[in-house]
Amino acid sequence: MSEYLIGAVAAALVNYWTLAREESADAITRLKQAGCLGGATVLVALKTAGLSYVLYYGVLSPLGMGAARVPLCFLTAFACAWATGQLARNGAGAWAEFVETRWPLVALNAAVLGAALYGVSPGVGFTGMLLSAFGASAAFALSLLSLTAIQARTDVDALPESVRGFPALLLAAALISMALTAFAGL
Amino acid sequence: MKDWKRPLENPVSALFLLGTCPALAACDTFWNALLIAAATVVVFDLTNAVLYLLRGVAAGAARLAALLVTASALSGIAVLLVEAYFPAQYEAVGLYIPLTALQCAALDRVLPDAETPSGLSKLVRPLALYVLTLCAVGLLRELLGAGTAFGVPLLPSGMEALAFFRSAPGAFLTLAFVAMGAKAAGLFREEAPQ
Repeated sequence: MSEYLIGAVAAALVNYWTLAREESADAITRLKQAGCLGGATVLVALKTAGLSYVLYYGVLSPLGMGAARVPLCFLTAFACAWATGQLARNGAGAWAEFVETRWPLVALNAAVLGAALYGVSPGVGFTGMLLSAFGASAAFALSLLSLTAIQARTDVDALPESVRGFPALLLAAALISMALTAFAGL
Repeated sequence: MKDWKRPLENPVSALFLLGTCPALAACDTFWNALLIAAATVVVFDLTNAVLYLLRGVAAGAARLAALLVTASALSGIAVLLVEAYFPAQYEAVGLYIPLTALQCAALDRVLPDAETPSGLSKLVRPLALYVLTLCAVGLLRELLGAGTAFGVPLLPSGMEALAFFRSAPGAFLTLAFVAMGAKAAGLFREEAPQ
């Protein structure tokens, strides 16, 4: 399970980097974006886990196509994220606007977490799959929010040149993964 | 070869992709890192070849879907090949090979577009940097975490290695050290926002 946690923290790194590179925004806006992305990923991951579980055991497994579960997970994540983005068009507020434009990023997150979940939870039931998906996506959301908050509070001028930017981000990721590993051991 | 120390173009993308790579957890030895890196590069190249053939059909969001399906199918083939020809390494890294499909999606986003076969030369340097850095991380983790190099024990009997570096936090820490060392050596300049 600790190897799975690295996937959640690594996905948080990608998303933080993507958000930071797309727009120049203040710390509060980035935190809001991180919160929107984390919430959207939890929602889509839950839908992906449920739908892919039903499709896998209802369609693929009886047909002897169990090897296609990973592509199934990817396609399901893509479809769920797209559907969520379409529904967000009718909504209002920062979350709806965020999901409407960035649903491909949410799809990739759900695909990463879902595909890795198959490896560490191969024989769980429907409820277990949903709980695992929620736990994984919640860990991702928590990691993303923590990374964003840490970077907002880091005094860049106090860091040596060789540590600024990407190395500092990785050090923060190491600390977050240590915390998650500690929780996994409880 | 003569300008190998020149600051590389956009290497941060290649480096940060390692931090995004779920297979970072599997790269606790040099040979495992080499296998994962080779699998990723081969799957990425073949996926690009298929997408080039589909360039008139798949565009925009459809291209992403096509990329994911193609890469996942090719990574499934890679899993079968590794299981057949490298059974020892399959026990260690077989779980992470399907995730190379998502690594290909990330690579596709950050690497320069190779819209024609002749444009593939733009990908050689970033992909080579990706493979070299992943192998360096794997070798460092093997040295620090297991006391071996390329599978050969180096520590005298009675000495123990730092098992922390074989865990997930150790992987991020090792990659941070590699990035710091490369930056201090002037091998790249970073354009990322602070």
